[in-house]
Amino acid sequence: MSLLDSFLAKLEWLVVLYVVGAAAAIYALVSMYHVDMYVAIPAIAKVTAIVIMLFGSVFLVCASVGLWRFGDEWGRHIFYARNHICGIVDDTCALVMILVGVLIGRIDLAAIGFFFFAIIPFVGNALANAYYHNTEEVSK
Amino acid sequence: MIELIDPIFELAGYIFLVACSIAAVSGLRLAVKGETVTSLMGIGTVTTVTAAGLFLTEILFHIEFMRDTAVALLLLGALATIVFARILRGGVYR
Repeated sequence: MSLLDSFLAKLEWLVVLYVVGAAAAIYALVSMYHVDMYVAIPAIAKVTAIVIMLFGSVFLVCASVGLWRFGDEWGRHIFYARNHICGIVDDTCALVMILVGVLIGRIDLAAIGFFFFAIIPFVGNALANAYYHNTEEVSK
Repeated sequence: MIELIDPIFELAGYIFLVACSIAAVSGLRLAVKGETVTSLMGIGTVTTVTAAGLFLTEILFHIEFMRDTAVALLLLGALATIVFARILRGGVYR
């Protein structure tokens, strides 16, 4: 089993754990605190959106630190590492937009995020292709 | 307890905006000090994080025009990055 497979298996369990936890939290709010069901479900969704935004902030700051650290002293091929880091920034923004949009009921936000999420690989590929044809072919 | 969720959501939004600003500064640094393709990549990153921040600002403060600006930035920024990268690569026939 590769590392990715084991991570995905853990991710499935994480999703199951989240669904069970959210259901338990909604049940507790409704039964113990006598909160209306139509108030409890958006509240739990908003808490999830808060967690997602905080995780996204951590990813963005880590990617920014990476962009600062990988300067030109690492050589010509550092461009591809920077391209990867910029892809992570784009992916984080798109995933935060999709998940927060779905969780707070803003479908326009989720739709734009999903469109952007589909465009990101083409952007990275076009940039890497342009850099390859500009520098690698010239140096041959 | 339910009343606390909205202020915490707002606080998380502010934290995400700060993180977007840090990423935008990194992208700007990449744009001003690198070569042509690197600058294009940095500008693409700045466009993305600016659009995400604008969208979040619209959610937090209900300012309608920010959503339209964010949509235009996201769509045109990504497509323009692809087009300019294609031009920098050396035309459509290569």
